[in-house]
Amino acid sequence: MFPEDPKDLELGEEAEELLSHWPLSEKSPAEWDELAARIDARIKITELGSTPDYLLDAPIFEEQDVQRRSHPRMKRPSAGSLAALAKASLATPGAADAVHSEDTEREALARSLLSLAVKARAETQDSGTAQQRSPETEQRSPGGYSSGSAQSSGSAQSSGSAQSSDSAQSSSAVLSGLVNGPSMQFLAARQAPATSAEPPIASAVAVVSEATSPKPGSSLSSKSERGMWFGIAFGLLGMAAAGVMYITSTQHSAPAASAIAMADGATARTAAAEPATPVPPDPTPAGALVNIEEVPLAEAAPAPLATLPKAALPKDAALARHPAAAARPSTRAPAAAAPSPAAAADTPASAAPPAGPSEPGMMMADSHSSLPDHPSSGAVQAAVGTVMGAARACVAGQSAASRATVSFGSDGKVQSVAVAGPAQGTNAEPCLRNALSGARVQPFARAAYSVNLTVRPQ
Amino acid sequence: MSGTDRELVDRAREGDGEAFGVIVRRYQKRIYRLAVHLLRDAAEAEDVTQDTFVRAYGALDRFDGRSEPFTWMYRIAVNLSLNAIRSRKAKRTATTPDDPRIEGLLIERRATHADPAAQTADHQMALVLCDGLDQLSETLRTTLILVSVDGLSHAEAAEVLGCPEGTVAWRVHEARRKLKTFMDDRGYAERTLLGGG
Repeated sequence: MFPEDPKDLELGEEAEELLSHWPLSEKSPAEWDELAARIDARIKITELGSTPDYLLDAPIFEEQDVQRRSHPRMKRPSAGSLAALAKASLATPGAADAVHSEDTEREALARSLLSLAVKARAETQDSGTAQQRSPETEQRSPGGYSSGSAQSSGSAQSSGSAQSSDSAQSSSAVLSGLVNGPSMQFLAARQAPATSAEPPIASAVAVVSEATSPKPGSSLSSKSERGMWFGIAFGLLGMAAAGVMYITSTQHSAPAASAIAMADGATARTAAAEPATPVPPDPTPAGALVNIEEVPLAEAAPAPLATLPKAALPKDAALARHPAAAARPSTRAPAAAAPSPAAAADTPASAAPPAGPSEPGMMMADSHSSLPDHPSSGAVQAAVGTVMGAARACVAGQSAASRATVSFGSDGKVQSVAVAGPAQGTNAEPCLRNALSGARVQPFARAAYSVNLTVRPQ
Repeated sequence: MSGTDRELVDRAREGDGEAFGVIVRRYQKRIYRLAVHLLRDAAEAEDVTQDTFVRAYGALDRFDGRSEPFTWMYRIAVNLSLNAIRSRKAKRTATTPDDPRIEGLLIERRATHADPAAQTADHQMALVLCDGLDQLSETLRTTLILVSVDGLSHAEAAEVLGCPEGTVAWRVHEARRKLKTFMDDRGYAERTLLGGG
């Protein structure tokens, strides 16, 4: 602890004597008594507890104070934050140098390995295209192949193979580089020549590897940063894979879509070829006659089909949309029956050649079996509700209610209206016919469907 | 009135003014001596001596008895002296003729030594020694004064300074080493090796 012998540190007899018995100008006893009396006088006016605490603490010397100010206590990282501790340790110059040197060594190794792979790849391309090769390259290439890593030997084995297989091997090399390390990816992406036949995944990996590679002068300083880069890399890989799957599925689904369009057109042609002759009401099923009064009438219910202007619904287009509309749930028939402009444009009746029943499109479009047998009561209510206001206006002023039987055809239009009761034979009858003829329901399979209505005056 | 320091402190804490007066008269010379060596000024040392006892009385309610009363008062005196030094407008870099340490030495030597040459030599050595002490850092100087000049043991000095005894020993050793180097550089090595004279 003390290198010198204490004897060697003695200052000499005189100096030691002076130190240990340093004479001071002694006060006389009276002076000491006077000093003590002054102290006693001050003590009498002093209260207990008046002394500040710092006078009772251990003395702090000037150099200790300077030392504390020049070396402030290290700021503690937040409690429980191992990442903060790791960053603090990396912040020290030694640790930063160690990490940097490790990255530099890894990058140097990756560079050496990939330079061999690139040389082998270039020579392989030369041999594949049968171009002139220098003797130096011929002499050097075997050694390069054998001394390279698995990637370089993989490229060497592809000598003379097709360009696509070469590109696939390049992609696998890049992918393996992704596994091996960031610097490997970076160099693989930069040094491997890109080909047009390269799959999108490989190019995505190249982009990602370039983004995740350490730039010159920078280093991945923390584990969380690396994790973030790997997360971005895998996210981009996933996006690329999704893009490939989407393109593939689009190519497969394109013929099916054209077949559906063809079927729609055939259906339209078939419907247009049918004669629009009125179908007599179906007399047999009594249940087919629905008394609209028994069901609460929803006058406010919208009927998109009825509210649409007739000009917006070309006859052929309206007919062409029937099969598609019938394929949807019947309860939402009015909304589902909305015309598809694309389908209508794709199926012009004039441009469609007459098709025989043996065509497969016609077979697919023969969808009468998929139509509902008759319109639902809700659809009938909605259709009648749209015209009931006008019908009641026709019988205004009359004392009793009139009855009307409305027959819908399979296309959903009103085929006939029979009026009975007080309005029959009066001016109200044609008014009622005209008003009730505006009702529309969804197409159905049955030839006709009739409903009985009671029209009460307002 | 007599009694141990602890008894006197207890009585003073209970309101006995005379008991604390006994303590004042028992320790005022030592406190003053310490203050003179720390402050190198007689008037300031006298003020610090008064303040030390007044402050000690004002803190009697916080004296827990774990240390001796005189070391407790020594600590107050050191703190007051350091405050006085820091409150000075100018630092004293050299020993002046009116330094109470030199003045006391001259008075004492004049009485014991008749040879003026010896008196001058002692005076020169005292000046160098004072300069050497004043060149030390505040820590080393205070520790050396407490141990070598005032005669406190390492344990007592450690109690006054609030540090381990080993620290006190190291400070004393370091202060002596520097002081010896200082004196050797000024030609006092031979006299030291020869044992003085």
